[in-house]
Amino acid sequence: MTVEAGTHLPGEGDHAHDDANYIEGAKGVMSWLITLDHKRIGMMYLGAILLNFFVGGVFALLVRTELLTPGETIMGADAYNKVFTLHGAIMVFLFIIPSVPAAIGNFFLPIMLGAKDVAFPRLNLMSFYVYVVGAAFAIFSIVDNSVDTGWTFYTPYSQTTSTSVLAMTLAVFILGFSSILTGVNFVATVHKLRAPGLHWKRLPLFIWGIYATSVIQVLATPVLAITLFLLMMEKVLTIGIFDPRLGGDPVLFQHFFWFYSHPAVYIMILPGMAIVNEIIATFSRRPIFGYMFVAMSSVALALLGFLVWGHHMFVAGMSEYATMVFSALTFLVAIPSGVKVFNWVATLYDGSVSFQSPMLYGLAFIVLFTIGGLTGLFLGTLSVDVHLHDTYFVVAHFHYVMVGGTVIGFVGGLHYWWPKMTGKLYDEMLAKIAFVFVFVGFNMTFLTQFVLGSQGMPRRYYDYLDHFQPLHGFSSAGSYVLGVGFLIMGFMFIKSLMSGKKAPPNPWGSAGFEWMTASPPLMHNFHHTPIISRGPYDYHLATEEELFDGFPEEMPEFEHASRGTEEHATEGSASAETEMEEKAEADSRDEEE
Amino acid sequence: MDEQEYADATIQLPEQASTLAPAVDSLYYDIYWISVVFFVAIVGAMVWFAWKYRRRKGVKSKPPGHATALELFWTFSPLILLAYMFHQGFDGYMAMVIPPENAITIRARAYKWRWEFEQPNGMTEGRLVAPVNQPVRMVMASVPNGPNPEDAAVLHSFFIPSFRVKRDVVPGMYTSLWFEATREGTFQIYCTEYCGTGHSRMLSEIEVVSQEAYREYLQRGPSCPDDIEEDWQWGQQLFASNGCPACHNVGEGQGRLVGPNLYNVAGTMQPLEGGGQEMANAEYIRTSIVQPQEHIVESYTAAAMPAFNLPESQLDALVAYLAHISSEGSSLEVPAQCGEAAAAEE
Repeated sequence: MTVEAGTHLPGEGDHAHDDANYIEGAKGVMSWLITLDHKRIGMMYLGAILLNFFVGGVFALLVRTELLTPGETIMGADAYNKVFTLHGAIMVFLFIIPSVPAAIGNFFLPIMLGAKDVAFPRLNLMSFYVYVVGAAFAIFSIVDNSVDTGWTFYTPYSQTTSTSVLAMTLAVFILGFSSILTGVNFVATVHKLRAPGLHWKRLPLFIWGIYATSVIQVLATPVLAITLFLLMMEKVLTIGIFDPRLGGDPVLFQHFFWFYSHPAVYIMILPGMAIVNEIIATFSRRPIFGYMFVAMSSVALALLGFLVWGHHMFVAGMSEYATMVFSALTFLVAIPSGVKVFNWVATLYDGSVSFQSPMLYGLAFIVLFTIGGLTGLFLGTLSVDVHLHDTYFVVAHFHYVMVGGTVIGFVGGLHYWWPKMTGKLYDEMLAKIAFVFVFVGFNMTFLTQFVLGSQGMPRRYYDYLDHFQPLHGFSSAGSYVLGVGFLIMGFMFIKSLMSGKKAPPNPWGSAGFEWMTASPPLMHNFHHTPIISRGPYDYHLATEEELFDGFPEEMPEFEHASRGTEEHATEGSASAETEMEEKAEADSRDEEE
Repeated sequence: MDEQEYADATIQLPEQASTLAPAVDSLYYDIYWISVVFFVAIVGAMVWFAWKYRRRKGVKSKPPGHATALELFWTFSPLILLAYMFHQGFDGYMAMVIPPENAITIRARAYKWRWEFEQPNGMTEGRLVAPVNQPVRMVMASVPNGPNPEDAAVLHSFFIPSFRVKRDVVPGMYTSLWFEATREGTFQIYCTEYCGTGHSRMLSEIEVVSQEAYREYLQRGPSCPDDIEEDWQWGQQLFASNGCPACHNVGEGQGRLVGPNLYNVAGTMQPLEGGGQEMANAEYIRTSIVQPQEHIVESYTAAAMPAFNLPESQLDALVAYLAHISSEGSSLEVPAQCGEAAAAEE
């Protein structure tokens, strides 16, 4: 029996479909710019996001270079304040938040659901252009006079600085709408466009993660929009909301801001976790252990994420009882996070584990996210947080979660799905070399910062006392190693695009649904809507050889059923599915003969 | 200040110099070791499983069976540890926010970018002197530098790592914290909430002295410390403790920060904004500290500097210091404040 056995593609002869893939299906620049194809929109997002990642990374290296020595190293205090602000704002709003959902999610969510496209393709294109407009405002702000408030725009500083705060908040305001549109689209797609037979308990865990993310995007982002709108109104019309000179309350801004930005942390980390699920399952040849617990932990994180914003403000002048409640709720976040990590590790047990580059990133994610999560315990503990708050400990903690988690997950996903997205294979050796640089460089940079922070080094410092220099120097050296790692990776991907070998449909031998179409996928993903009669991780349906060598690299010849069953999901009809499964099994035996 | 002097400083945490520090540190290390155990267990299991079940020809992965009991175990059992951390943390936090009844009150005012401390008797200085073994309550306010919008008060945060205390200073409200120092010495004060250009130089120090020395300090007022011989040395100390380096460089050849470099200023002609120039004599320097808007030097639109209401003796010492770092400084006449010269004048 082959792993494709449970899957049917109905109806040859009732439609004439061409076999062109989505890249070659239409030509010309305009065919990209006004495309409604989720794959092309995903690729345009990917390009824009990687560009922003590069720019944000350059700012990061400027920050670390300035901090090599105390006092002025390469720039003055004002320039430094702008550079660290831009690093944060670009990385958060223009890179991490849209990275997985808008780029990889856009590409793979419909394919994994067996759908032709997202529910609202035009909204999807609009979301991309809203993102572009938002990015344009951000660039305008940078060119105009830049911003020096930190990515958090805390009042009243953001009301008093002469830098271009208005343009940047407007940019973030607009980017939020792009995020909301993507979220709405994905929620609708997951609910309405699942292929027949793809019921909730069969949903790939990537979809569960993206779904939970989308729910947060839809519910939380409007609050950011309101907050920034109030900020702009206060700045332009001098209505007193946050500014104490006008009778406002600066702490109110922090409540508003973190009411969005804490859930946004889960907008960032859940998709990273979602990717890791797919990677670990594929390279262990085993379903994720405790599937339902992992799926529900994503939902739990999404919900809990709304209830813990106050832990950013333990020393900000909040009431003691509020801090108590927020601290208690914060500890609850550890539960679903722990559930995920435990289940990933348990998945390896009894598996058949291979160590190709995506899996290295998957395993690195577990290590780094564990550090990020455990150091969160220090910060959730009230009395210890008082000491560590706003020090480098916090900087290190959230970089372990955001970079060690989300970025490593994103990069792992990029490696994993690269052959599917581009139809090209990459140089595995080069990918592994890049991985070593990234992993070592990242830990050098940020493990050091935990010690800096617990020793009392405050964050957002342009200058520092001499005795911190050795640790700062080591951290900066680590950032260069990290930078070299990403450069090697970039070179590796470009080389793959220029001269990579053609990728087979299923290079990793995954049982995931997205691997059942060609590489790169066809224009409409599948010739016909697939009927799903197995889970995305049913490796027990495969033979031993397939589990060792990977699945056959030719496009499977699907059995074609009549077209009548195509449109509706028939969740309850287990008997029908079994029937089809048997039929397919017989068919595949025929093929072998 | 060198942390390595103190036996209780560790690689991770600075010395413990307040009554609050030991509890915080003990909880810190509890969490640290819990984290180490979890990290080693998780990563150890991961590496072991990944290696033991690495892909081999002819060996098939096994589908997982049902393990609901295991799932429920690792879902709910960590709650015990989490409850412990939460409880200890909240306990310690409440101890930090409720000052003992016998605490004395020192006020802190945060400007862009300096600290100013007002002792119970109203004496105001840029450095913080506090008695050992005596609870001290800090009542803090963020104060605007001037009436202009860009001089408005912003957020700051008061942080003494060696005491494990920190609290934001918020415009429009008073915030407070308390500590009881357990040893004499000098400890670093940082601003830990981003406040703009001079944020990283918004430093000060707390000098913890014996209770007798503290009483004496309050009585004597802000006069030259006994161990300082020269006026300019005291001035140099005041220059640092009042946060002046946040905006002024004093080294030869160093560029301007927010304000001008003060090297070679005393005793030379200063070009003024809007034309004209003025001799930077003792009076000019004193006025520039007390009323910064009075003389605005060329190429500066407005003085962002807050007014410093320092005692006369400290103003003299600061003038002496600026004279000391200027080649023309010997022309400035200021009354001696320190050492034998001051005694002779009395």
